[in-house]
Order: sequence, then C-alpha cells, then structure tokens
Amino acid sequence: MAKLLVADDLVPIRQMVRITLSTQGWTIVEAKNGNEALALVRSEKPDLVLLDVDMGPGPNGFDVCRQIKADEATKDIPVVMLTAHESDSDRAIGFAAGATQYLTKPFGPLELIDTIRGILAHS
Amino acid sequence: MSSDDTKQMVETVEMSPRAPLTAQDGGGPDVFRQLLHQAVRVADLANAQAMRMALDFAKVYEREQGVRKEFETQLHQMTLMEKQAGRYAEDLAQMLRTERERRQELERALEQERIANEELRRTGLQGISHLLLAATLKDRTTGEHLLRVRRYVEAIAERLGLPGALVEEFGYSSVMHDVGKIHTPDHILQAEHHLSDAEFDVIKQHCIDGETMLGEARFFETARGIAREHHERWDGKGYPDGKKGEEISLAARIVSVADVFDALTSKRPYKDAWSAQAGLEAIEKAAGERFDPEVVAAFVALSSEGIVEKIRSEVAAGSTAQSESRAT
Repeated sequence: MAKLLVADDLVPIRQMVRITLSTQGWTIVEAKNGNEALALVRSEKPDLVLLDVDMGPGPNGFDVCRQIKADEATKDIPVVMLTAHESDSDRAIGFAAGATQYLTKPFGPLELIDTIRGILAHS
Repeated sequence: MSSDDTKQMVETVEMSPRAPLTAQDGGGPDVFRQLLHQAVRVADLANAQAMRMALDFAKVYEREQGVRKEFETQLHQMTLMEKQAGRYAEDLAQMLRTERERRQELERALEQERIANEELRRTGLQGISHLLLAATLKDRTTGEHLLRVRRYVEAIAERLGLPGALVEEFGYSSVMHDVGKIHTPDHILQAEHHLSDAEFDVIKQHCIDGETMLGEARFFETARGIAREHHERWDGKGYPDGKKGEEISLAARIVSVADVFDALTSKRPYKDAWSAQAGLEAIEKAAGERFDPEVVAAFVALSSEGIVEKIRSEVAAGSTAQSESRAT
C-alpha cells in the first residue's frame, strides 16, 4: 500500500487531502511546514510527496522540492505541487525545481486521485 | 530622545509659564530674555509633545497594521478554503449524478435482461409442452407417464423443502428425461423378451443422447443432468456413468424414484400394472441401494398423506377429460 506525504500549513487542507486519499487505501503522513516535510521525507520514505508552496516560516514548497531532488536518497520520490499559485511562471518554477505534476487550488478530489494514481502507476 | 527627557518635559508643561513673568513685571532686557527663554521652552515642550504623540501614533499604527495583516492572512485562507470546499462539493455532486445515471442504466439493463430471460423461459416451457403433446399424440401412455412423473417430482421436491423456483424447474425438466429415446428403435423399446447385451447398450445410449439433445442453454441445465443421470443408482451400479450417492444430481435422484414408481404401477407390454402399495414397497426396499433414502422417505411420506394417489387419479381424470373433449 502506497504511503503519501502531504505538506500544507492549513489544517483543513491537510484533512481534505487525507480524507480524499484514504479512500484509495493509501497511508497519509502530514507535515505542517517545509522543515517538517523534509524531515518526514527522509524518515518515512513516502512513495509520493504533495507540497504546498507557502507554508509560513522556513523553506517554501519549491525549496523543499529542490532539496528532495538534490538528495540521492530521496530524488526518485515523485513530487506534486499543490498550491494556489496558478501563474505560468510559478508553474515553471515548480517544474524546474523537479516537480512531476503541478496542481492548483482549489483542486477537485477526482483530479487529485487521478493524478496520484497515474504517477504511482508509472513509478 | 530618551523617555526620561520626554517625562521631564511633560512635567515641565504643568508649571504655569506666566508665573515668572508676573513676578518680574516691567523689567528691561532681562524681561525680554526671560520671555525668549520662556518661548524657547514652550516650543521645546510642544516639540516634545508632538514627538510623543507621533511615537504613540506610530505604535498604535504598527499594531493596527499587524492586526490587519493577520486578518488579511486569515481572510485569504478562508477564501481559499471556501473555493476549495466549493470545488469539492461540485465534484461530489457530479460523482453522485454519474453514480445515479449509472445505476439507472444498470437497472434498465437488468430489466431488459429480465424480460429477455422471461421470454426465453416461456419459449422453453412452450417447447416442453409441445414435446409433451407430441409424446401424448404418439401414445397416451407416454403422455400420462410424463405428467405423473412431473407431478411426483414437484411434490417430492417441495416435500424436501426446496424453494418454489427450483421445484418448478425440477418439474419441467423431468418431462425431458427420456427425450434421448427418440433415437432408440421401437423394436428394442417395446421388446417383450429379455434384452441382449447389445440391445441394452442401445438402451443406455438414450441417456447420453438426451443430454446432447438438450444443448447448451442454461434453461436446460437441470434437464440435461436428469436425462444423463436418471438411470444412475445410489449405490453406483446404474448407467451410463456408474455415478453414486450425491455425485448424481438431486433432480435426477428424484426423477429416478418417480420414474420407477410410475413404471411399476403402469401397464407395460411385458407386465401388468402393480398396485400403488406394491410399487411403494418395492421403492422402499430399494432405498439406499437404487435410490437416495431421503428422496424415498419424502415419497413415502407423500404417499401416506394420499398425495401420490391424488396425483394418479387427477392425471387419469385430466387425460380422460382431454380425450373426451377432443372427441366431441
């Protein structure tokens, strides 16, 4: 069973993601900021990481993504950005940081599930 | 400016500026100096006061800004969550709609399948009644035999506690137990002498032919089992496969009892009709050897309740009525 990490500073968003993804039988690990996310990526070795961009103090989602991709031990973990930043330039930053997919808020539950399912099927 | 300075100046402003003036009224340049001095002090004081107010204002403003920013962040988050919740609700509503449509489609498909099945069933049952009619037209004995066997089978199945649909299926399927005999030459079927091995092999073939003739349709599945197995014996000494016990389908085990009982109690070219009592005794004796003891027990119970006798008389009356109505 796949294990997923979701990093977002907002509790309701984390809850929504957790409830949505748990319908697929996946295990969800939650982080409330960039530093927590990085620590959990290393300790939990999730199969996929969902990253918000603005998560208060500490590294933002783009930074976290770059660090995951820079670490030999975690660079193969696919990253999906999940953010309200919807401009093309932000997308470009996300993909340049190494994200596999870029979803914008508000996101739909089916969109979220389908995206993750597609990525997990390919990895 | 330090806060001590501010404090001192605020205290200074409480002293009346006119007091020293009235004391030295009419003085010369001293008075002017004093006045100037006083004016400078007042100006200093006003300056300090303005400074103090500006500082206070700055503090309040800073705090207000902080609160406002906090509210703005919260407002932003709430707007985001509102959009997010709206999106979820839309998706869920769409899912429910799709789900309902799919269910309706499924229900329609099921209904159509039910109709198709019903039609198939009717066609099958019609085919069977034609078969029965054909047999009856050839000779009345066979037609009545089939009718009685069917009624016995249904009564036994019901007595064994089988559900209504299965009772009915066993009933109509029993009618076809001997369809394979269409291939068996009449001289062997009606032979009055003891059959030779070769002739008996031909007889055995009717079970296999019957199963083949009933094709592949689900509707005839029970009938195929009956056709193939109604000459098998509980102890495994029957034909054509030598199956025993519960290897033989329940339907075939029931038909076997009904078929033999009716053969015994009917007149055949080579024998007279036995009484119902004699027939029943022969069946009971063969329980556990030729027949499934549970089926025999059910049949004996039916007999003791007079149901076997009732079926016999009803079928006889029915066929008499039928032949009479045909004659008029």
